[in-house]
Amino acid sequence: MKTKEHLLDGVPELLILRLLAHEEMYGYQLVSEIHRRSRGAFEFGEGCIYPVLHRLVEQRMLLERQQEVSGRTRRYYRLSTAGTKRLAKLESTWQRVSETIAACGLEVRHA
Amino acid sequence: MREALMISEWRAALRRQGVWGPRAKRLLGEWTEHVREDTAQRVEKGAAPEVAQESAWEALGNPEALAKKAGRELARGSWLGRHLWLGGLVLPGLAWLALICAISLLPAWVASRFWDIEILERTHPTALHASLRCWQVIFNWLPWLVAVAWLARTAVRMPGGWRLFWITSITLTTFVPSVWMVIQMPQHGPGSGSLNIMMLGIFGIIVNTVFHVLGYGAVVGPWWMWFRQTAAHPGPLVQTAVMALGALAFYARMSGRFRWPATGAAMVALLLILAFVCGVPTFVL
Repeated sequence: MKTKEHLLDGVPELLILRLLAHEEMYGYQLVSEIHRRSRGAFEFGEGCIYPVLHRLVEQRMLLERQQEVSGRTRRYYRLSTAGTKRLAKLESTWQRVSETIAACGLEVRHA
Repeated sequence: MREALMISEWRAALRRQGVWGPRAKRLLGEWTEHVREDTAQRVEKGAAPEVAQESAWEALGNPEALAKKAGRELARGSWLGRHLWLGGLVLPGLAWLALICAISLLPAWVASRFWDIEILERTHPTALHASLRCWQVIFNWLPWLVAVAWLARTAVRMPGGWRLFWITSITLTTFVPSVWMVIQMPQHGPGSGSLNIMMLGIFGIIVNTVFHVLGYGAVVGPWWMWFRQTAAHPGPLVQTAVMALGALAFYARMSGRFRWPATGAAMVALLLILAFVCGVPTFVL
């Protein structure tokens, strides 16, 4: 699936917040999880995911901590309270959009 | 060795997208860690360390594409990055206009509210003339200093990449040196002085053209007066030259596209154009 389209502009943020809602993760893990769970459909890549992560940290939606693991420095991210609220808002918007699109599809079929 | 080379390539690619400083440092750190994690995963699955590292670098993709994507995503994260024309043209233009209006009207209003200028001119001419000179300097140079600070801030943060930088540079270089206040102090007693606000640069050309079209050319002066005024008052020229050459030099240095023949020629050409605009018509006309 092409990820350049404007339709998918907010998707990386939603995916990141959703994944981090369940557990804290580090960058590589997040990228791999998005790839695995979307079965390769979303290929936002490292050029997109890390800037989004950094922006969310700047906006205090995410909290971060560093940990040394086998000589590597992992930067773990987790959701803050503001991030949880943001996720709820994004999910509700997404829900509305997808319901509206589905409804439009049904009307077309009936007509 | 390979890692250092890759990081240097990423850094250069990020600079070409207008990303540097802490944002670039952080991205470079994350990408490096990403490759190390990927390499470790591949080694765990049985690949040879060298092959695993090479595959991890390749999986991350071309540095230019990676940096381009990162630059676009970073720009999308800020208001200025999302609204290039509003943030680079409309906002600086309105801010400049508001500042010019404030500097022009506020002292005039305060003076007319609290003092009678004609009496002041007779009783305290030295103090009045010093205040007028001070006002002239503030009017002519404060907006330019604010504009330079604004441009420097844009250059340091680069919220919208090079595009926003260039839109802001061109807007400020066009707008800011385009009005110039000239106060002639009274030389033949009270009331013999004058205060003129000249429209120079692009605004001067527009105003003169409009007046010519309307048939009031004689009132405003022929079009080449603009050149003579610029020559007589080199301040706007200095302001234009510093901003334009500064922006060009900054781009050449930071984007990594510094090529002596091309950039040097562009700078010399810009200087010659400015010198021509200012000087030659003064001698010819």
